[in-house]
Amino acid sequence: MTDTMIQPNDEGKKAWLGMIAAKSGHDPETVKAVLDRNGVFARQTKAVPQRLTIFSIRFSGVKAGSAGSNRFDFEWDDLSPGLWAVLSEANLRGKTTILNVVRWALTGKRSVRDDMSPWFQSVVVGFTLDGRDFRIAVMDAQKGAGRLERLTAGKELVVREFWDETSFESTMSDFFMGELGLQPIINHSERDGKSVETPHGWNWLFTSMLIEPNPAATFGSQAIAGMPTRMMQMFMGLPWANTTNDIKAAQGRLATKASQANTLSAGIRTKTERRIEELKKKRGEISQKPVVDTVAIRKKLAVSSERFSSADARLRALLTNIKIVGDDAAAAKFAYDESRRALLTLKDSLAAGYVFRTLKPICCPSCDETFTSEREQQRQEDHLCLVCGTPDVETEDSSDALERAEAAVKDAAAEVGRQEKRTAAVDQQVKRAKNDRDEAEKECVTFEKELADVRPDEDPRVAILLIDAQLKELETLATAATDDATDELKILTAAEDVTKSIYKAEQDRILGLVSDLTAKYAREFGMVSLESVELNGAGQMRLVKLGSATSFRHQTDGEKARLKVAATLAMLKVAEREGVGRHPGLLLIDSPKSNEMIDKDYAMLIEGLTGLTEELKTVQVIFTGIAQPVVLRLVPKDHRLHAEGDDYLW
Amino acid sequence: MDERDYRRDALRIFFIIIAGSSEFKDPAYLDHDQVFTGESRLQALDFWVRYPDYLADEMLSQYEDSPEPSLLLQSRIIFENEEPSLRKIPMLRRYFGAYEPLDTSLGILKSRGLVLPRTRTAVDGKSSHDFLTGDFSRKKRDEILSSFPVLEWYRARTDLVLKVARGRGGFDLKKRQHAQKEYHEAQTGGLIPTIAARVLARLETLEQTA
Repeated sequence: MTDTMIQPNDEGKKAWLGMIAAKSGHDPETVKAVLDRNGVFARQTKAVPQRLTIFSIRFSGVKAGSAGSNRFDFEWDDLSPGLWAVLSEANLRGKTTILNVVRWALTGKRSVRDDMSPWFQSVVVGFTLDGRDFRIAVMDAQKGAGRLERLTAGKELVVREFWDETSFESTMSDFFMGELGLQPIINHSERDGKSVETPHGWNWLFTSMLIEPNPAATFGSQAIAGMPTRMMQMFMGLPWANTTNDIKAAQGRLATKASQANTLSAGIRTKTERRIEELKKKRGEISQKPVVDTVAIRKKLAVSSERFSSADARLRALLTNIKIVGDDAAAAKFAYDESRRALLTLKDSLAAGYVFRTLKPICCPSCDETFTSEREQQRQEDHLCLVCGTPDVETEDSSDALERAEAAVKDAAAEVGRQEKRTAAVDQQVKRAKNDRDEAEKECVTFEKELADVRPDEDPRVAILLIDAQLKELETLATAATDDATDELKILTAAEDVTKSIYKAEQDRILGLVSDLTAKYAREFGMVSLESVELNGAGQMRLVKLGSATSFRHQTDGEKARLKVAATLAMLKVAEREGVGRHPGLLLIDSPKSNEMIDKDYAMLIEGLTGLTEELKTVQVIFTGIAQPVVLRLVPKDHRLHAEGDDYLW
Repeated sequence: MDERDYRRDALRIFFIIIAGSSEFKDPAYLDHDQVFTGESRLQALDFWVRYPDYLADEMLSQYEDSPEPSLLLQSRIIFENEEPSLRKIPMLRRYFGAYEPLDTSLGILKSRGLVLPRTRTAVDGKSSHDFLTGDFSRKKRDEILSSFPVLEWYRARTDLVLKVARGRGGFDLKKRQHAQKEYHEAQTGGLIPTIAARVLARLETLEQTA
């Protein structure tokens, strides 16, 4: 480990956040909030290697087959670190099952072949973890019921009980993940547009201890992109390995979320854009509408109202006037009537006067005395009245009076005519004033109605203002739909870059050591033509063989197995030397002989392994294989389980 | 003409007396063969001659009782000729109705031998007046009318008034005339007012429903 590397302690965390903030362009508080929200933490990684050693493997049951049933009670005790061999001289003698039982006990996941599974009644595996003894006792192998015990000072302490396969599995997972300081790796994948989280826990991490006859990946059993790297980082136990895993998981989650958000926001954006189009169209239509200018209407109303008032005042004045004019006309008519009556009366009187003057009195109206002719003659001569003796008066010339009376009638008639004209004129004026007033009133009513009809919400100007406000809002929305997610991704990307940059140098150094050692071991296992190995940060293994570049994937199964063993052991070796890493130091290697390894190569692998277990004193390797002389020679008898001839191991 | 013209009054009374007289036979009065009875009757008939609007009103009342088209027509003519204004000769209201002393007019007529007024005292001591006329009266009336056609109106009007009076006596006629509010309510000593506007409206209503 280099001294310059920033450690995930309090001081290191601050520097780490600062670097991410600087890179992403956000302030450290925002960065911290985003990282916290996404479960990304600068973890103190417990990197002290803890060794796992199997010391006892026992199982019992009844084999059921066409040849009848055979009880079996397998016991292999007193195992310890070093190289252990499970051998037979023929195939199908139960070698792999022994490794599978170990896996079953340590993971809680039934790992034996399906056809054999019903045979098992009990499985008991004892192991030492970091100097402490434990025992997994599956009392009912069919149910998966039993307990995990701690063996200390001759006592058996129950750590946990389990009653079915599920509780068995979680018991083992919880125990080892906790003890080894491991954390599950959550892999994010997108399936049908949904984020699918696959937790990779103890069962997966356990595969780093298995070397299958036909390995698919450098580390572990899965070749899924990124998984070997992460397993390697985990077991190498680099200080920022867990943080990187956090970031990876968060990125996966966010990428899925972002893609969902994009899908979602694409829908929203389409709708929003459609709505924007609608509003623009509506705005166009509304702007065509005439604006009802209420101010202008009010002005017109004021003018009409003024006209009404003046016409009404004029009419009132005229109505007063018309009364006077009427009185005058009536007076004229009366005078006219009177003058005509006077004329008639005059004419009557003139006639009456004449009548009675021409009728001579014949008696006294008072005493009835008739007049003599003498009296008549006398009175005539004396120009005296025959009746009363009053002197006769000269008969008045009536023509003057008649003329006057007729002139008076004429004058009165003329006056009547004048008054009639005057009345007609005033009537006309009244009619005009009334008409003016009615017109003005009608206008007032019309304008008032127009004003009453105008509703503020129908004013196109108001409607346009509203639409403009909506448009502004929607256009902002349409462009800012995915900003948030983008920001978060940016911060995570920055975090990944920063974190990687922090441990890159260290990782490169460690990987360089592992690579070189892997090449060395692989050559010791018989890959003599291998010139160099280069493990990169992505978990890929590049090789140079006889001057040509090649890769892990292009090797034969036997070569892959040897490379994998070599890489794992190299990693264990480097980890131990550097004091990092979490690999428990147990390797289960299944049937390397079934590969096309030639005897010499096989011998070299076994020889190499023997040498290594001496070098790595805490490491335990259990391998299965055909009992060949080289194995019998290299592996001491007490480290061998050997089914000789056609014997079965159990 | 403000000045009282008794001759004109006398002439009008003369026309009424002739028109309203009936047959008379008395060996003591060989020159007289017609008699007009009742002074109050004379006063009442004179009122209708002097107030054409009241006459028209009476005709409209008679029309309402018995729809005789000529009554409406006569009324209409009265208004068409503006008679309520032009022919009205105002009369005073006395305690017993329209009244005017006829002494002067009758004196004029008597001195000319046109009418002979008589006063008779009944058994109960009450006196009554009647007015005798004869050939001379009628001859003179015809001469007057031919000499002064303007006076023809009086002859025609007195005939109409007598027709409207329908042979009623002075008491009945006065009673009838009192039935008119304006006539009855006129202050004693005051002139009887015209009712032309009311009667014209009544006429128009009746004409519309005729």
